[in-house]
Amino acid sequence: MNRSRVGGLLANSVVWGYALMILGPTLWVLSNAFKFKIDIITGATLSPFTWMNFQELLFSRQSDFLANLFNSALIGVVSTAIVIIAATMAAFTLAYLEVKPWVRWAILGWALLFHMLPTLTFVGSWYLMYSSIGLHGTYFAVIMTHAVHNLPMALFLMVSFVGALPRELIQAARMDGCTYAQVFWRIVFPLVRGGMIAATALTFIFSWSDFAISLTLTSRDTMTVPVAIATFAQEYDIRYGEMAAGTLLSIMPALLLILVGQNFIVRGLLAGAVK
Amino acid sequence: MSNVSLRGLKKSYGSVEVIPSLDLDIRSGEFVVLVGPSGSGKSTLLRMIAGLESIDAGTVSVEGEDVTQRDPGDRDMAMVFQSYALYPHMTVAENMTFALRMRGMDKTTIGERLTESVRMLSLEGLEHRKPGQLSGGQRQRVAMGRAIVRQPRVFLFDEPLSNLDAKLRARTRIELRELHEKLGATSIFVTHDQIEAMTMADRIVLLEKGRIQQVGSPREIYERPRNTFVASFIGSPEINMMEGKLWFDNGTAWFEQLVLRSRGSESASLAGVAAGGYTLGIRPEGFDIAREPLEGSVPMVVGAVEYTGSDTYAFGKSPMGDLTVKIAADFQAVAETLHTGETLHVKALADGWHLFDSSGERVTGG
Repeated sequence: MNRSRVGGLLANSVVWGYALMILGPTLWVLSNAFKFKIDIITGATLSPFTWMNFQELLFSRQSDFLANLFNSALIGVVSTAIVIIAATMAAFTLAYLEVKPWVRWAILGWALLFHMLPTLTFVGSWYLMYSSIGLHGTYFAVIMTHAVHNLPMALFLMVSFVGALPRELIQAARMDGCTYAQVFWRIVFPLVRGGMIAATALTFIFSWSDFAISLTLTSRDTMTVPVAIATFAQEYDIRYGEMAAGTLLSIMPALLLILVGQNFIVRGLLAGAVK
Repeated sequence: MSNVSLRGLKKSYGSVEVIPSLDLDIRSGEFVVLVGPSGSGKSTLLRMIAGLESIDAGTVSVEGEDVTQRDPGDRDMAMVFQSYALYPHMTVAENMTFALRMRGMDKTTIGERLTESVRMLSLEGLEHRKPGQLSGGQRQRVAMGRAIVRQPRVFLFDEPLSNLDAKLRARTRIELRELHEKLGATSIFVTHDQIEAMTMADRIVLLEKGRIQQVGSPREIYERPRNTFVASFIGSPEINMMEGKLWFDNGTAWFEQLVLRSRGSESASLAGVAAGGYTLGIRPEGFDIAREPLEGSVPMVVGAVEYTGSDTYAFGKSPMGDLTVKIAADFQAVAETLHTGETLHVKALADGWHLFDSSGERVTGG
């Protein structure tokens, strides 16, 4: 065997190993969703097909899954809207208005640092903050926290998108009589729509799949899907079937968003790499 | 039509002084070209006039009206950018009428102005295209159209021709000049290209390091450069600069081995000039050429001959340094047989020279 074949084999095995790490559990979960509990526990590969897990999940009185889906959607949509509007406007301000350089770097630096710190470092204090003002367990608490948590990433994405617009375009609009607000709405906003779609898809998925914040700040009424799925694992009884069915259902919106937004996401992550 | 006047304009970026202090008056209807090497502050100056760049001190006024603190959109100036800066998401018509729509002008007037400008710039049939579907030349015309429809008091141009190829640039230069004659609006044009400056300007403002080196008609600037910088910047091939001693002998003026004469009475332009060290500037066309030595000529060993079609230039070494010499049309026979290594004898034409003192300021000359 020559060198390049060894290299090729190595590369292939890395890719397949990686795929196995992701696809293995996914397939396991997928198949569990359609199995009877007894088959899951005994580890039977070929087993009778059933919709029972979905029925239990969606319609039994023990489960609030439909409400959880609604909570996740509501929290995801509202927090994403806040994040995208704030991030796009902030990006425009940082890129084109006369912001002192140190202010720009301080904001972007803080955003990066905040994004790098583990979420778990913060959830304790957030819990205390919201509890002390009586807002623990409300939609407001989770939505605001998700917004704060996801803003840095969206800000970075939007800064690269908005910053990629030619400066002269903004100046031309200024010469044409636009105020900065008009420049934003009439020129910048239509031109960074692609970037906004990418940032929206990513932000929504992050909010949708968040566990740490939602676990700490939601109550029974505001519980989101990932937290609900975790509650199926109880001390004496792990309801694998329902967990699997819930996971499958919760993947759907994210999958849909990725399919719609993947072009924009790739472009967003590469923005500014080449002209 | 409006006059523009700049008083004591200053601009620094941090500790870097881009424009130390600048005064300039631009007459109504005048086509003024700001020219200078890169980093001379010409674009910054234009953007300060436009209001796109903040001003540290001084005033910009249009027709006596101080507009220094006004927003760019409230100065009644239109600008054509180097990159054209067309709005990519709008059609040609939308691009051109954007400023009018922002002002809330009524639709009939907008329509009339659009039709007129489209016709003037021969953009008919392209109104509904997006900028991405246009060629470079068409984009350039749309950018012009966007300025024209506004019928502004002042037009500002920031190197609008530099993205065109050479042929199109030459044609657009003429079109732009014709357009200016037609509209008669005050125009301020920035370029680093001396040919653009020379061919288009009523008056040239030559800038270096944020300071005005000379203001004058293209002819004045070329024929009476105020200092060595102006003399070297304008003119292609570049002027020959020689340092040396000026001395007089029986009423004849000599610069090292070259005789300096004036038209009419001999050495008239040197009356009252003291002998001593100076810098002499002679443009390539300021030489008389001969195969045999003449009185007051220097020998030049030809190093290279450049034939450009209409002109022939010889480059070579002389006792007074490297020289570039244009071979006059009546000397074409020589040009055809001229070869490297041959010795020519060159002398300064009467009034074909410029004398500068040790600080580079003009003393006298043709």
